[in-house]
Formats: sequence, C-alpha cells, structure tokens
Amino acid sequence: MRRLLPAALMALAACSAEPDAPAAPANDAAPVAIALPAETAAFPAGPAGELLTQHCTACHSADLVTRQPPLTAEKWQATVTKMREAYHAPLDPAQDRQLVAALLAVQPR
Amino acid sequence: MPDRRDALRLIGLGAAGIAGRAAAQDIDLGFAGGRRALADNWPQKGAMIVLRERAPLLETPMDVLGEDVFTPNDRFFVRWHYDDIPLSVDPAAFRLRVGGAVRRPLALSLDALRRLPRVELAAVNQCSGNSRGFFTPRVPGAQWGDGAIGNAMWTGVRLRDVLDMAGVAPGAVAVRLAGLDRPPPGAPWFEKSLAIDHARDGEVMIAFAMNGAALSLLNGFPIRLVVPGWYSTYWIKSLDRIEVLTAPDTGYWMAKAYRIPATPGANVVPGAKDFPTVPIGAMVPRAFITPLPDGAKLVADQPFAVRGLAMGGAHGVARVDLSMDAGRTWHAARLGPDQGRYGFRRWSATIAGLRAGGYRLWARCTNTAGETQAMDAIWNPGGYMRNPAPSIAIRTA
Repeated sequence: MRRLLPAALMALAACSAEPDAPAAPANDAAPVAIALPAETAAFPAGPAGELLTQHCTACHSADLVTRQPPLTAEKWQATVTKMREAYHAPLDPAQDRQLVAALLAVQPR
Repeated sequence: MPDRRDALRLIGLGAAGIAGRAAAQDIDLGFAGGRRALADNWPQKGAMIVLRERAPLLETPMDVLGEDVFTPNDRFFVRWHYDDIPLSVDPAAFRLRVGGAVRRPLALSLDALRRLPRVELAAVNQCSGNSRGFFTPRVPGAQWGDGAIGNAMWTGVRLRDVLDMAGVAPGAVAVRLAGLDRPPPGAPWFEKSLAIDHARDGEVMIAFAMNGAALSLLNGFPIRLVVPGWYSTYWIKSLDRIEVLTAPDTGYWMAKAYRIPATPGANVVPGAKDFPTVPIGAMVPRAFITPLPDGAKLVADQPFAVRGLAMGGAHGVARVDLSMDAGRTWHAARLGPDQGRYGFRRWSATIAGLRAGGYRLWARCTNTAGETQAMDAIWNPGGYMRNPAPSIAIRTA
C-alpha cells in the first residue's frame, strides 16, 4: 500500500480541480463513529493510589501522572494548583498536602 | 556532546532482541521512564505508542516515520487536551460557524465548504512538545519521544476564502478557532488564535483530507486547520467555530499556555523563571535519522547507507549535513524530491568504510532562511521546540 501512495497522490493532484474528489466528506456521507479502547491505566493499589484515582481520573487517565519524570514536591504542588486554578478541578486546597504526598508516593523512582 | 538517548535506544533495541518475542510490543523511547507499549486497538489506527489513554496521546514509532516522506494516516500521532473528544460526527448535521467581527455570520455545511476552490499542500504537523522526554533537566508534561510528528498531503480550502465569504469587518486583529472537543465544567475551551494577516495569508487551510483520504476522527474529522510551518497546537481538530476578534485573544490557551521564552531559540538556563514569554509559533529545522542502520550488521571497511527525514520548519530544507567528528566537519547528504517547503524531505548518504570500532554519526538540517540545528539542546520549562542535531552510535566489526 505504501508503494501505491505516490501514485494515489498524483491521481489526487490530477483531479484536484474537480469539486467532488471522493476524499471530501459531503453532507450525505455516512455518520462516522468510533469507540475508544477500555481504559487500562491505573494508579498502584493502596491509599495513595485510591486518593489519586478519586481526585485525578475524572478528567484524565492515571498514566498522565505515572509517566511524569521524578518531580519535586514543589513541582507537584504547582501541578495541583494549575489543575484547580486553570482547569477548575474541584480540589480542596486543604487536601493539597495529602495529594502532593500521594503524587510523590506513586511516581517512578 | 554525545547524546545518551541514542546509546540507550540502541541498548534498548538490543535488549528487546535478546529477551525474545515477549517484549516485541514494547518500545524504549530512550529516556528514563520511556518504556511504552505499542497498542493496535485504537479506532482507525494501526500500532501506536500509547503515552496517555484519556485524553488520547498516541505517538508514531520512529521506524514507521522513517519509511515514507508521507506518514500513513493510521500511524499519524494523536494529541487531545480534554477527555470529552468527538466520538461521532454526522456530516449532514455538521456546521462550521463563522462569527465575531464579520459582516455576515455563517453556518457552513460540508457541501458549502466543498464548493470553495480546493488547495493541496504537504506540511509537517508537529506537537510543540515533541521530544519533551529528552529534556535535561526533565520537565513535566506529556513525555513524548521524537514521534509526535508526521507529514501529510493535506487537501482542503483556504481559511482566507471562508473569512472572505463572511466578510472580515474593519478593526479585526485576530481569528480564534475551536473544535468539537469540550472542556470539563468551568475549564477554558481549547481555543487558539492567529493574527488576522496570518489567517488570511492564503496558506492556512481548512483541510478535509490527508494523504487522499478523509481525516480519521482522532485526527480531526471532518475538518481541521492546517497552519503550514507552525506547531500543531494551532491546527485545531474537528474545527467548528471561527471567531474574528477586534482585540488580541486573552484566553488561557494563548495568554497562559503554550508560551515560550522570548529568547533566541526559546532557550533559557535550566531552572530560569520570570522571563518574558510569547506564544509559540513557527517551527524550527529538524533532521531525523530513521530508519536506523542496524548496528549489529555494519561490516568494517564496507560502505554503508544512512538515511532519514528533514524539515525546515517555516522554511524549506536547504541542506542536510552529516558529521562523524562531533560537528567539526560536515558533509552534505543527498536530498530527495522537494514535495513543498513545509513537508518532510528525504535525505540519504553513503558512509565510506570504517575500520572496526565505535563511532557516532550526527545529522543536522539547515533551512532556506539559514537557520540550522545546534549540537547542544535548548532548555525551557514547557519542554517546547527541542531540535538539537540528532546522533546515533555506530559500531563496525
């Protein structure tokens, strides 16, 4: 298929003046729908993982956290603050210390 | 300065080979924490490196990228910000709305867009944070390897023609663009803006096809913005709203996010804070060495071939040079056909036979504006615009 690509592109270029190249979705094109794979990313078992599952995974999967490089408590606090202030995550500031401790606990060493 | 990632990448490949087939689906991107699974269960996609499941961040394996100047649609990288992404689109109901400072607000159907003059352009689409995982010291954010990038032949209509249909009102300064993805409650909509003259330059495109096929939903069906030479944060997917502004966009995604130091090459001393910033914009030149020559098979005193891809950023590729002596001397590589200044260009070279031993090969791209890749990497806290001259370890026996 890869070998055919240049030919396909030449064909596309040759007919690009025509208003109805098949690649352009038209009003009467069939609706397109996809299903995403079931989520497999998860925090490690235990109290830290449970706290993070509860407070982080409403908006994103756990792998966003677990794939970060090792970060300092200060950097994790900045991230928690950004989630609250920029993205309006409903995170109670009174819980920040617990969240940061949990983030430090699950990050890869 | 030798780049440890390539040594690690080669070690990683070697280890996978020794471990046998069980590890064949793992890829080591070459930085700490860079081991990733290859998954082939994403809709309209082949095997992709999964960086984040929700919202999806899917990376193109570098050996796939190197196979062709045009990246296959089903291996093209995917990057969404919020988890509420469009999972179904009914073309009959879809409308592109054009409003703000215009004389005639529009709600365009796909058929109405199809009646506009059609344009076609090869262009590299690259995430602002591509290669962030290699930043030293490390920075938070999506830990991409080098594969948040792809090149496609885009087909669509000019943004200028759509703006002209609506009639841009006097006093317009910017055009804000947004798509079908939705923020969590209270979070800012993912919206990006281009200066009015940029939006009307005749190159910025509303694309409905890539490489001759309709866009996949994960890459922005039914239409997406193409901003040639600029990072893909501006290439709004599933574009459904265009708003002409009479004042600069002060929204979060322009005023707070995707900002770079206002310094040459977006470079600051590691750890620097409180420097002036500007929104990220034009891309910088890059060369990639891919597919990698198989280190185990290089025979001493026998010439061998290396090849790869290069991009000039906002300008064409002028040249690609190779060095075997850490950048003291450079030798021009052959360039493949020019498919357009914004696209990938193939490069290749034959290296004369080397006596048995260990070597390192560097590549660098220079664009037609004279910008060239440096040996040393930049640093900034966002992990944006990385483009040092890449290198690989070579062993002959």
